[in-house]
Amino acid sequence: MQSPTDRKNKTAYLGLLTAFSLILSYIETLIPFQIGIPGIKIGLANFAVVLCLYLFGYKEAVLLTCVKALVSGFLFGNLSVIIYSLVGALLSVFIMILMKRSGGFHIPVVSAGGGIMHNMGQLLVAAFTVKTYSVLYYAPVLIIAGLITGLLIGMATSLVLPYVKKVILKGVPLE
Amino acid sequence: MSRSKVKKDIIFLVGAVLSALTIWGICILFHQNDADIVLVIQDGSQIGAYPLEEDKIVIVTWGEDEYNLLMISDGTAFVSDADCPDKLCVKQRAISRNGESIICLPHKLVIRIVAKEESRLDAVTY
Repeated sequence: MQSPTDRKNKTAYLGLLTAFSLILSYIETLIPFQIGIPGIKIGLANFAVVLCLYLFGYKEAVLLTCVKALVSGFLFGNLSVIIYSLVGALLSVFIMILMKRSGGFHIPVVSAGGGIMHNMGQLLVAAFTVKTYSVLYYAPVLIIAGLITGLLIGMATSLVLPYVKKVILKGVPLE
Repeated sequence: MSRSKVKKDIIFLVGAVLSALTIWGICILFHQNDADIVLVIQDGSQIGAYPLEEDKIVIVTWGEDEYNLLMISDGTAFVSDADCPDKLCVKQRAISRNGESIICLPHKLVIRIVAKEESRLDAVTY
């Protein structure tokens, strides 16, 4: 059972994770990552979402995703950015939850699934707004891009996770 | 690192790559059906439309005995010969992309490439 202190700590850590994801979103806007294909992003903020998913759980991850998409959209984007990132991020977090629940995948692969679905969600919104199927030409590129970025982010997360877990769940202070 | 997890990881990754390749293949097939079209417009009215994929030679006449020779080959269209005074249409480079055009002013001729289904957007914000 969770004690009141645990709950307080959890709230604080969730706030930290949210701030972390927002900072990552901001850093991402600073990196000039143009390879000629719109819609491809590194997805740094996914780092925080994957961490949250493995530290706390499903509900917390969904909550973090929603807050992150809304706040970073208001801070660094506009309304269309919010819609794109909200749909993409929610699809991504749902597929990651399913993949984690199935218990058959390592963190990098779960994260890769999330990356792919993030891109596919954005593509769906694009197809819906443009009302043509020609945006589907982007799908293969976006799948591969999401796979690669997701894998890398997932690898980073799985390296960081044990240390963060020690600090957050067992209360060991960082030296 | 459990063995079964690694196996599932690999299956997932291979599946993702395969599905990307499949969609790519479908898009290529789909694209061929949706071929671009060479429009021939003379004096403001369309007098012909030919698929860019098929090799073809079209003689576009103007007046009594003047002509432009339009050639479509290897997915490009160009005017190979004409008897207009400046021959600018012959000097213009071959066109192959959506929206490109060759114009012969003396014969009031416009040859333009259009997509079957034209994109209605200039840009999309991500």
